[in-house]
Amino acid sequence: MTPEEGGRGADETARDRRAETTPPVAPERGNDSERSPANWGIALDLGMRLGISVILGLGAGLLVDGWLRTSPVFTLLGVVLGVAAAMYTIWDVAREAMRR
Amino acid sequence: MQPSGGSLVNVRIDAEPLFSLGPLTVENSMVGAVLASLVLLAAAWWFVRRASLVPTRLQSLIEFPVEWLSGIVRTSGGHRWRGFVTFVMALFLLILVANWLSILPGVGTIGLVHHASDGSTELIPFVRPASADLNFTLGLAIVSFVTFVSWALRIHGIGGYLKELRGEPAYMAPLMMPIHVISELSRLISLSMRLFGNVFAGEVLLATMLALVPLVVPAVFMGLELIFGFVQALVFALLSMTYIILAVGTHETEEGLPEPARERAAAGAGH
Repeated sequence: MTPEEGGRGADETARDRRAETTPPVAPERGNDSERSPANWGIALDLGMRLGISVILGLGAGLLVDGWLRTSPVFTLLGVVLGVAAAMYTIWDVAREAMRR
Repeated sequence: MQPSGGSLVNVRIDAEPLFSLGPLTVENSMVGAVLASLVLLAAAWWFVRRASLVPTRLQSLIEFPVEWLSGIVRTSGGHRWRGFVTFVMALFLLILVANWLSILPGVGTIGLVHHASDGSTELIPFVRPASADLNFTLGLAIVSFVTFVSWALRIHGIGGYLKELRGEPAYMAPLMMPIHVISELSRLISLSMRLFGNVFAGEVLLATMLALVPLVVPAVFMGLELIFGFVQALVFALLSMTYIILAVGTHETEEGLPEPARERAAAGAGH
């Protein structure tokens, strides 16, 4: 083994050891994408979108019930869909955050 | 002009009509929007004529927000960032100038006195900050919405976008489609209501403070309004950018992955 190969081997060993001891998320925390203010925007947006999803579902349900005179069937359905949309929004944002 | 015996506090949630041009009723928030556009046009005109390689202080002042925001878009926007950086920048600058107009003396405080039939008087300002009108913020949100949907259509095609809306597996479509539609619409409403709510609340706060303590105290709130105006413009622009990135990047191939993800994928392949 030449000295260069020995040096490279030592580097690789040290890198492997670092990779073993460092938690997998830690190196990614420092990159530019995750420090970006865009992430603050997503966090600020999330809370508002949760409330709006429920209100949208409720509003749509009330409208349909008023139109078809089926109260409270579609109102309840709208609230359930609104809550489901809010939960989906959380999942969607978390999934995208992990993907990036 | 202030109405005698009237109040400086002008808390009408809708924009006040000033005059009519045929079928078009000109409202004071429209004047604010046009003023903001004119300020930007004048800055752009000056910049194009006077820009030099070694920037003067004024040129640096104009270049700074542009370079700073384009840096953010470049680091977050993946490899297609050049396609939407100008859109994000335009949104940011327009909203910023429209928000900061409210700090200028006379905006919201100089106007016509309107005598109502019940004997009360009301001040109708000549200029109202455009962002304090829901029509303006909703208009911007619709532009943003159309942009990120069109990016999604451009990248994935109509079939891909509908498939995304429908969700997987296909038999869940009756449940997932309304959920996706509500989730998409919540972006539109969230964008418009946040900007409108913050700017309008700031206007009401400033007007109230001016009426309660006319000296010194309003200056503190004006300083806060400068910060809030900047933050809200930034949040709107960055959220629009994020929505475009999400629309573009949902099903990217490895060559099309946003840069950080591509680097990570390459690093993963090396191990």
